[in-house]
Amino acid sequence: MSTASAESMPAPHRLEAAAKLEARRITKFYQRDGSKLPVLEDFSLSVAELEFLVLLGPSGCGKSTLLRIIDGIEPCDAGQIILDGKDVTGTTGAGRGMVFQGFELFPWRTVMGNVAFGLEVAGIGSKERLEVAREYVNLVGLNGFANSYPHELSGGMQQRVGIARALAINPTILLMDEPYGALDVQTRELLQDELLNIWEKQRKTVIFVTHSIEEALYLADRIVVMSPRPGRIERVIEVPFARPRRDELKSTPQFLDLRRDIWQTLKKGAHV
Amino acid sequence: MKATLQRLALPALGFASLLLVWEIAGRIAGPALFAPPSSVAVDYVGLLRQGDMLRELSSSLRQMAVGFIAACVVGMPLGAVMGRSAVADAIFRPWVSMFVVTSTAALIPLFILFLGTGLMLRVTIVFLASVWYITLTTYNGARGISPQQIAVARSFSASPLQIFWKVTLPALYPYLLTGARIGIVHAIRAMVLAEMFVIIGYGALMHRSGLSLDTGQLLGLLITLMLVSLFFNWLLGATGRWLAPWYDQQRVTA
Repeated sequence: MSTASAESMPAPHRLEAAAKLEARRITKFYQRDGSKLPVLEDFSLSVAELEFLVLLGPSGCGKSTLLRIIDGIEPCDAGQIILDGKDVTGTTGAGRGMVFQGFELFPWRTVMGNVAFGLEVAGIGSKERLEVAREYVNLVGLNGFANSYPHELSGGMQQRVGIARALAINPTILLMDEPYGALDVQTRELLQDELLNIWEKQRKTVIFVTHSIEEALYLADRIVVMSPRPGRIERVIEVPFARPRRDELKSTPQFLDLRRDIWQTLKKGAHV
Repeated sequence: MKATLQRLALPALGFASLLLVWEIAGRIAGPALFAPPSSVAVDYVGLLRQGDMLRELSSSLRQMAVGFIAACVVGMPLGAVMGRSAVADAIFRPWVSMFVVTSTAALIPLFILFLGTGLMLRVTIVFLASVWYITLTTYNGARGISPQQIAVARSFSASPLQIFWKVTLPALYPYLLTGARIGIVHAIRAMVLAEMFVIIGYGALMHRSGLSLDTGQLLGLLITLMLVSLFFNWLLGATGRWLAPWYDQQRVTA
């Protein structure tokens, strides 16, 4: 079993910056029919400050599990998560904000109520948290929907709420678990652009999980390609495209070449 | 247009056909056996004027309320705990399964021996008739709470207490309401049942009008009872929609 660690990969800009987050030898088993199924085994990864890192891989490669372990909402069987030099394994918070694949808004809360949730459980007073929440509702372009309930919104708008909810606690690292996986292509591309806009305004470290090569190439500074059973790093790609990136990038030859190249890597590890 | 037809006209048609069949059956059977709606309507005015019906109804309903509220106070937390804890589920499930299939009528003679025929009997019977439905509905709701939503709350570092107040309880709320709606219908049924056993209150009124072969009055009393059940069911539903506009009532209506 070859377990490549990200540190062994050449990545000049990362050597200068201190690691924002490190996953050290993470191991995770799932219990299935009495036998232990390894999802991640001795998995290590390092993410630089303000880096936009994309975890790319087919379903079952453990990328979402890894993200949930990083967030602290899922326990791991061995290994450590080091955030800003501190061991945060198995705990949540400490500057982490998570966006979920199925949006997972609270249906009984309005847009404002959902966005303010993190501030509310952190004990921020109602006046201040509503002010902050309004700011983020506006940031994701939902002015006018502040008092709507999730079921009154489209999928794309619901995920905007999900993003605002994660951003409202002003995280230093944003974890995004296939946030656009449930959306149609057009909405997806719009939200990718919006995310880049927001990210350029409020630079944060981002770990973004997806199975879309195009999405990964368009968003990432660095792509970690994972392969399944157990999840391991297949390849690390430094994305060469300059920022700010615009939609036209997706039809440039260089983009398409890289896309085909990554597809070859993924195909190799795929068994349908 | 079509929607209006389905919402209003068709139920009205169904209702009218029921009245028609009843009227024909009543004319054939005669007023002593089965009073037709036309004569029940006359008797009903009499019932309202005389005042016994409404007086007995309100006192019976007040006693029913005691049992029903007790059932909510016990059933809702019990169902919630059973749904969230495997241990509590294992301990209490046999109780709930046993009682929910037991006919309330069959329990009444036993409880007359224990409690006599007073207020405690009726409150207990109402309680026993409704508490299991409230428990089971809440239980199903508690089991169905999305682990993802709990994960969201944990992701934002909510404490267990905060998760209970801000996620579990609101997620459970529609089920509490549905449980109460199912429970109140059973509670009203049990109220009349218990009263007919010990000949008291509204049940006694029905019992007596049955014995005196006054079917017009008997059917009038029945109709009032139906209306009361429907009203409480509607009231709880409307309260729910008002308090929880996000919630589509249909989803868990059993």
